[in-house]
Amino acid sequence: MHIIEFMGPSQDLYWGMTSIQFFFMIQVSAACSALAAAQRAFGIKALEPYASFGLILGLGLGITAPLNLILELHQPLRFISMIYNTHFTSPLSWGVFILLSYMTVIALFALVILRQTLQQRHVSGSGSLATMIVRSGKTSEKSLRLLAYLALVAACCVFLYSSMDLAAVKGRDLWHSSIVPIIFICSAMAASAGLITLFAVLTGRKNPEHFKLLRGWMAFFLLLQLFAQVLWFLIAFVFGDSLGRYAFDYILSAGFQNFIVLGLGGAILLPMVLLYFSSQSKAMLLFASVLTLAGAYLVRWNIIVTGQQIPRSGLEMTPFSADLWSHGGLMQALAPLALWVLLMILVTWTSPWKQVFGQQQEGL
Amino acid sequence: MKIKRRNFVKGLGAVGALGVFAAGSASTLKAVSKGWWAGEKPVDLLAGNALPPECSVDPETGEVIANPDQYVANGLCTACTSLCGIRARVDRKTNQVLRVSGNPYHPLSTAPALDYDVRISDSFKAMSGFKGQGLEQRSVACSRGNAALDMLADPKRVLTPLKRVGSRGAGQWEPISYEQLLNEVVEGGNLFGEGQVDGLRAIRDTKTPIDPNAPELGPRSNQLAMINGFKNGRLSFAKRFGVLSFGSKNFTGHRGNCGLTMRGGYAALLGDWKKYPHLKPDYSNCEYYLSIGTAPGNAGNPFKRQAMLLAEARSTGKMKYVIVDPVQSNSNSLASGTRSEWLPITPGTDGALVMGMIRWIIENGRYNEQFLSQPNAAAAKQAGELSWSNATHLVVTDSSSPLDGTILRADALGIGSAESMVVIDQASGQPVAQDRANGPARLFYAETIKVKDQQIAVKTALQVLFDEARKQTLAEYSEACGVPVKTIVRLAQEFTSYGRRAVADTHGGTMQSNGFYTAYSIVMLNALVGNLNWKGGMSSGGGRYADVKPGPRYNMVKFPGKVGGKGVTISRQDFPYEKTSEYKRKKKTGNPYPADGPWFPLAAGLQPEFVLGGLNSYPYPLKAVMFWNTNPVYGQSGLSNQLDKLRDPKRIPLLICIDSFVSETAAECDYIVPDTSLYEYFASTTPWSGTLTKISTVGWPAVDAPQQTTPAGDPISMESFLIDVAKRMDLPGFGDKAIPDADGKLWPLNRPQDWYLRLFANIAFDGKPVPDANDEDMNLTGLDRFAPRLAEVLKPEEQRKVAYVMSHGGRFESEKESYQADGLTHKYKAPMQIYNETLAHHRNSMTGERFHGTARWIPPVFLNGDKLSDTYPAAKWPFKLVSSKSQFMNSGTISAKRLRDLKPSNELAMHADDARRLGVKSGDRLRLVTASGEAVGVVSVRDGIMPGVIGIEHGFGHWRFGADAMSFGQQKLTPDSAYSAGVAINRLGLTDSSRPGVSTLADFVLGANARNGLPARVEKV
Repeated sequence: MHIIEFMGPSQDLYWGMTSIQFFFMIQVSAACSALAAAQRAFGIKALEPYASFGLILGLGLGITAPLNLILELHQPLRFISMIYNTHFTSPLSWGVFILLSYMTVIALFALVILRQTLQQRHVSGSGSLATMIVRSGKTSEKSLRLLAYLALVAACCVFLYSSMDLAAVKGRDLWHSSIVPIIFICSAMAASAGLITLFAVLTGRKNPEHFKLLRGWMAFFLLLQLFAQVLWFLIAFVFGDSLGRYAFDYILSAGFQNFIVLGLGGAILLPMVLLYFSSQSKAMLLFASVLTLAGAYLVRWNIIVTGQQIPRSGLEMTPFSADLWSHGGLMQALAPLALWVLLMILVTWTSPWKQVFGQQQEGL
Repeated sequence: MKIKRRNFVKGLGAVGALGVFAAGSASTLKAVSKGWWAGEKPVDLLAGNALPPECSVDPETGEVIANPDQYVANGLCTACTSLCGIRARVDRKTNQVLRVSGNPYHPLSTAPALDYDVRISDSFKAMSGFKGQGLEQRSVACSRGNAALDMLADPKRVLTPLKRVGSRGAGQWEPISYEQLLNEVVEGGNLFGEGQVDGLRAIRDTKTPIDPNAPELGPRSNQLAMINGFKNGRLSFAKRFGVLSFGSKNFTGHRGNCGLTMRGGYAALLGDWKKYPHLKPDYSNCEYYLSIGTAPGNAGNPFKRQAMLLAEARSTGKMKYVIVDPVQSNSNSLASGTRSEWLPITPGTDGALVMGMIRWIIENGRYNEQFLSQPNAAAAKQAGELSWSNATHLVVTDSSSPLDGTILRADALGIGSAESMVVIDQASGQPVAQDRANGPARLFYAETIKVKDQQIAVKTALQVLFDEARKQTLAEYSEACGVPVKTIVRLAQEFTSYGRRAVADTHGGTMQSNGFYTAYSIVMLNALVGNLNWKGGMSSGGGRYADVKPGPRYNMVKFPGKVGGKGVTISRQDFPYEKTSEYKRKKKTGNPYPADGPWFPLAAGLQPEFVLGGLNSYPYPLKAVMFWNTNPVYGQSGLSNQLDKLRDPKRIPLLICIDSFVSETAAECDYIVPDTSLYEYFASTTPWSGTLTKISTVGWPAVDAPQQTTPAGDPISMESFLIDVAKRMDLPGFGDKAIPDADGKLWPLNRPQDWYLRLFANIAFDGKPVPDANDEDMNLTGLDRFAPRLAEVLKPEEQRKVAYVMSHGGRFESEKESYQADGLTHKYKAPMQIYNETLAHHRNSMTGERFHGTARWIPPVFLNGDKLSDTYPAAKWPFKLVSSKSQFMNSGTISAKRLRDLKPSNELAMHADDARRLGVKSGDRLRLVTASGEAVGVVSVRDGIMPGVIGIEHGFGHWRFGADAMSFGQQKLTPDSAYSAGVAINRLGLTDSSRPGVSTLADFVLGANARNGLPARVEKV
């Protein structure tokens, strides 16, 4: 029987599902964008077939991720008011500017890349959006590379802000660790590879060489994440204060299933095994990708939710359950994801992206 | 048109995604649609509808610019018994309290407090962002203090005098005029068509004895009993009427239903059964805090300061504390790691734990020998001690001697006076007069000694305690309390490892039938480490400035014609059975025991026995009871099941309640007199020993009360009602010549301010007078409204000084005066009583057995000494009920909506193992059954409770206040289930069949109401 202690309303969890999802979406967005920007910035040929996918996925996630915060705040004006109420000692305040800058840079980068791709593929027509984009001018490789660098920096800033936002909180022992950002970044990078793989398969790509690259990418970051998480546990046990040790005692007892069985076994080790054998099986690759994505979500759930459940006062874990319709509940968390799915459908369905993806499908 | 499969799937996906997005974001979109663009413009674009601040402070210059629409009244919160200083922000136009926070001058609300000489405008500056000092001087009110202002505007508040229609308790009331109220209460008559009822005029006879055959019972004026609440700063006014003027001995506060066992334990330790002093830890400096029977983060006095200092202590890492409690409370924190510990215990058995600790401490020599071995104050001072004890004094322990149980006097041995005790000199091993000893004496001694040619057995007081502790083994103590032996030993080791900076405290968690000895045992631990008066040790508090007692300006307790109470109280407190006519009569015919009812010669403030004595007409009948600021029907465990007795006018013909609400007690009365509520009345009080410096907290009407007024223009309240009753009866001490000043000139007492403003003048002029308030002080705090009243009542030289006290919410000694070197500035002077001779002198009136003179372990018992566990065996009654304290609700705050929002109901807290065994889960409904009652509640399965215990948070499960249907004339009030949510533990309270008549279970020494450890069983609903 799972027992909870409810001592008073001050014990409520304030960062619920929409918060978890914000961190998931914005960090996977940054990873996807970083992948695309790195390809352009450093001219990595092998990444080229997936760069535009990464960019479009990253841009979509980047646009829709803040919706989680807006829904949680319940009043978009509050988000806007943070623009003109700046507190430079607050990561949240920094976050507003970083998110806005990130979205602006990524959108610009995506637009320029799209224009270049359309121009290279001689897309024409009159009056269409694609034609307008094609005719809007040309971008030099130097400018494009500069924009790629900016996009890379913006993605890194998003990583840092969104991870440090948690790591800076002294009162939450599971959050307050310099390894937490590393875990987040590694899991987001692995998840971005998984997401691109899924997207590539869904849009009909079949080149096994390119999947090999994504498999390697996914496995590499999963391995890094595994290393970081084990290091995180060890440091907390050896050097942590009493509360830290309590937190990790919890991980080894009541939290064993979520943190160890599912978090390490199901979301890291199993995908790595599947990836090892997936050269012969697209199903295994797909399954590994899904697990990696789920793992990235799970690690955020574990850290953010469990971190709040370990109480600042009182002796027992604070309860948390996500119901369906309430404020911060499941439906509210699904809304931004649904918007992102809608955007992706529209992107692959309508001009001018349809033409890009359509040509790619034909060319591969 | 042919639709491609891919497009169909995409279309379906798009529609689905759109649907989920719309569903998930609907509530937010709805909120957005109601935003300021839809016409709902907030007061301020940035601050929304937040209240405009009381002032603004220029961050560069610190200039304070006050908001002319508001004032900030520093005053008193009485929403609980902590009595914190608060600051109420008031809207000048609407005369409504807008917000409540802490008074920055008041040590119960902030640490460190602002110096008393800081002007009001500078206090605003100190709490602002100017020079970044706002957080340091932040002063807070608790959740209850913040929310209690809801009660002011509760639609169910009593605003006019009410008279019952129909039978008592029927819930039907008729509004009557103030004149009719006064006339009927004073003159009596056939008031309810049920026969003649004596009014107060007929009852007041200060000469004729109630019973000529028992003259010790006192005059007939004792047949009025005034049953009151806690010391909220107004009690002394009620006492002036009831005792000093009316001449009734029957006047009580609520202690017997609150923390009498704790107070009794301290009274025994500190050797003062009159003033009942008690101690509190110096939280700021103690390093080990053992809390038994109190939850310092939730409750106890003063709970907010305790909670703040506990949080501070554990976060800085200086203090370790252990909370011994059947129910885990907010006092413990996981965040403090090993510095905080919750130790579950079987209810009612704390005494076993402590006596086990005492046994181990003495056996292992871990007590403070230097402190305990000093036989008198001079020797203690010479040894560098700040207090001393009677540990070395010889006690006669010879049942064959008439001196048995007494402390041996030096004159009996011919070595000193009759006032001096006897000790065994450590150096010579010979008996010496304690007051002549100039060095340490033996701590352990058990020999016979020759007294007047007879060898009698004697022991030192510490030896008596040790022998008592040795009556059971640690294993037996462990079995009794459910705490493992190794834990008892560890606690004893830890407690004695911090020198004088270890403290043990207790409170209302000892309200059980063995509560007194439990409390005496707990507080005895302090004597064993000698921590009294030491920095980091125990403090008796800083005291208060002269207010009611004869002060520098006015004598508030003397007046021409003063009467005073004589005889025996209806509660039989403070009077030994052995002095009664009943005893003498019975003794003539044989065994005088048991008495016809219990007597409690050591008790004070024994509210439960006031009610029971009245219902039983023992030792004499009451004719009228006046309840004020109290609710014993709800608060006295076991009373609510016997309301038929209270509803019988033949038992007590006239019941009057002065209350702002129709409480459970008010609902059973004949008349309800409206009362002012918090922030509406004058008051003068002080913290409960919880501070180290001298403090007087004052309250004054920050807003006008909404109820009907008296002909003089004052809101009808306890004070104005009693003044008008007294004047109508021509009672002394009221009217135009009532209060003597320092020159003996008499001043009037016709209105509440006549009393309180003069009392404030005493505070202002005590010692070095306070400064004068300036115009700015008065304007910022709303005292400008008060200037005419100050001028009307006070002498010119008093007005500005009283305004200074009122503007600051009281008078506060500087916290810099807390310590002198390693000791406390304000010290308790008398010795600690390891053996209390007065206690040992008295007997249980039901059995004739003498009380034991030192701490001891006794399981919960009835008054005749029978164990509860024999009557209620565990096989039939497997659970024990305990009352736990809420940090939100208390017995009188259910009317505060914001508190109900925070905590709408309570639960039946049950341990996971018990729940598993019974197949019960959180949310299930269970019926609790005790021998006297039953209740249905919702289960909360927890780890944080002792197995076999069900914890019930106090303050819920009301059946009046608005929970029931009421009518005020033509106005019908429908029942509101928000008021009745949850379970009231006191409805499950037990009676004591070992005593005659109406009863509730009580502590066998002091008569305090027993509400913890009630045997119960559960049934699934």
